[in-house]
Amino acid sequence: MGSVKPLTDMEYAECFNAFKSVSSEWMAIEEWLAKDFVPSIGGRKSAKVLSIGSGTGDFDLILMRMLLDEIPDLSYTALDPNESHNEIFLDRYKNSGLQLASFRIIAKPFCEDSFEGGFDLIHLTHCLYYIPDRKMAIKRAYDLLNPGGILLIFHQTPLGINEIQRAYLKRAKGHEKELFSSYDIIQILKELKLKFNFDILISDVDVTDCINENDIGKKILNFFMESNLEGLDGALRDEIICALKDVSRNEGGRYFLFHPSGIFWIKKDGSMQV
Amino acid sequence: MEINQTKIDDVPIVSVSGRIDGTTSKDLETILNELINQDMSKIVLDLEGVVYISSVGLRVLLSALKKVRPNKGDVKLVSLQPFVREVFEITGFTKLFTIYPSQGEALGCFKV
Repeated sequence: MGSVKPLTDMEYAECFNAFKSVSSEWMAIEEWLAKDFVPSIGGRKSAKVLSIGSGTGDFDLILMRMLLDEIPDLSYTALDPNESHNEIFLDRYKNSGLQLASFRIIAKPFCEDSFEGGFDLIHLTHCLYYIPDRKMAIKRAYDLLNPGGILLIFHQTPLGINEIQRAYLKRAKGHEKELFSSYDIIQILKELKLKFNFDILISDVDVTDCINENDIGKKILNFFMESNLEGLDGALRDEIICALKDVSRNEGGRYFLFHPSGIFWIKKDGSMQV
Repeated sequence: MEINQTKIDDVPIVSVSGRIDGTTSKDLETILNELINQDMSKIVLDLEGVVYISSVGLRVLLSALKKVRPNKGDVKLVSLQPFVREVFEITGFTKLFTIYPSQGEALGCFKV
């Protein structure tokens, strides 16, 4: 298996940025928010938003800007246990020029005793991988909503990166704790008897750099496998890259991995029935 | 992969057999895009003969669905083999596509 190390916070940030630079996912999410989501919740004067696992605020800064166009009195709470990410988010917020009614970042993991509810919108964007009890997290998030409030979950489907992770995560790093897809979320929502809307956004990752094994490609592959693969056994690395090539499509000499984004949209209507 | 096209009551029926994978899916994509570009927003896609579909193939189907939906269209799927149905269920595609046991039933739903 070789010696595979966890990513440090700085390495994770570098790998995530490398991934972002070759992924169309954020653009697809932004388009969905602008066309389908934000217009549907407009018309209210105020709203309280909770972002769970806010990270460095990439998604939240986009969402804040869009919501402010529709909702003038916006209170925003961000929750993330990683203090260095929170500092970056806070700096970015201060420099954004956005004027929210209130904004706070809480450096805590999301758990049952986190804080009082009363939110109109809660989102879990690509963070459930890192929460040990995902069912509790979804149930708790739902419970923190006001009646009529919305829980939004963006998460990977079993396609794309998840296909590679299913095949190689355990072999590469010895466990597959982060392996969790929209399929698992559907099962949880059914168990919780929560009504939900589901859609899949088309997005791709240009994995040509991974296949060419250059520095950017190595960072992207590290992001896929949630670890620093520097010490990975060469034969296993070759196998992963070969599999990546197999599941990607070739367009004009570049390789694109279909990595769609699953969206769950759950409205709290006071009932818990399917 | 083999693709046959017919039309009943102005609704195109595209029947596919074999493997829809990274090599073959481009042909299916071309045909579906041609139909959509001819303003055909109601399409029946018969997958009875499909024994395998890769993520690249799923992308082609989803892309077609996303293109026709704004025009109140749909891509109705017919007769999925167990392996293909399982792929659709695991990926959540069964929540986006309606699947019918026969072409007649899919066509009937377009008439409603």
